[in-house]
Amino acid sequence: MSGLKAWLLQRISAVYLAGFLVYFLVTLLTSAPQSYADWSGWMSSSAMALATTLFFLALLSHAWVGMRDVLLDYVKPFVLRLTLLILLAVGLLVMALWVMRILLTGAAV
Amino acid sequence: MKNQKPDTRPVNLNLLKIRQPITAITSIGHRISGVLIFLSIPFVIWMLERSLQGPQGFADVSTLLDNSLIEILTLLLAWSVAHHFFAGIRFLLLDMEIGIDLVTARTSAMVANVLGVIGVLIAMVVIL
Repeated sequence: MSGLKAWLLQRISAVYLAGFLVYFLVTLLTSAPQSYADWSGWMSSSAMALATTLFFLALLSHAWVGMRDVLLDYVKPFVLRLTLLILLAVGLLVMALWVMRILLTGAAV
Repeated sequence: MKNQKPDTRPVNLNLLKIRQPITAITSIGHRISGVLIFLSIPFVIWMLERSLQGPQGFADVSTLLDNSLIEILTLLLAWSVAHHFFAGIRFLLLDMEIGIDLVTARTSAMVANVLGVIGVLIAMVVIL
């Protein structure tokens, strides 16, 4: 993804990331989960599991746009650049699947 | 262009000697913090997974986060997130043409840099 679409994705994801971050940190600061029961209870409620999954998907999309820019700016040799971009894309996709397995399948709960 | 003499004027591109404008520092800080956050993602996901695997996993992650080395890395991540957050909001405002005059842009750059540092100080109070 590139051009206007990437620009837009970066900014829309930024807004969600900022909102979630504020909510998450305020909750941690005011009523930090002190036990496994608190923590897993909070994270496995369907609203929070969904919001957190969405947070990571936004984070990984945002990272794609940002890291792509960084690679295009600093890595000039074509083959190396292409290799790193592919590794980046694969890495981000794997992390997306990983986090969805953790939060959505309930396997960890 | 072809017949121009080669340019023999001295070039000084030592990045450590050039005094960067404050807006440039905010900008490169945004990029560096972004890369640091990117590098932290797999570790954060791993901790999320471990902490949700049961009381033992939760205790393991708690113990890990109390490790001094990990605390330093956590503070580095705290700076990254705080700076990226505030500099990012600044860039979103600039996109909307809010605060694009030079004086305001310089002031907001300074504010973002300072808030990033304040973010670390708060993180220090909370985790240390």
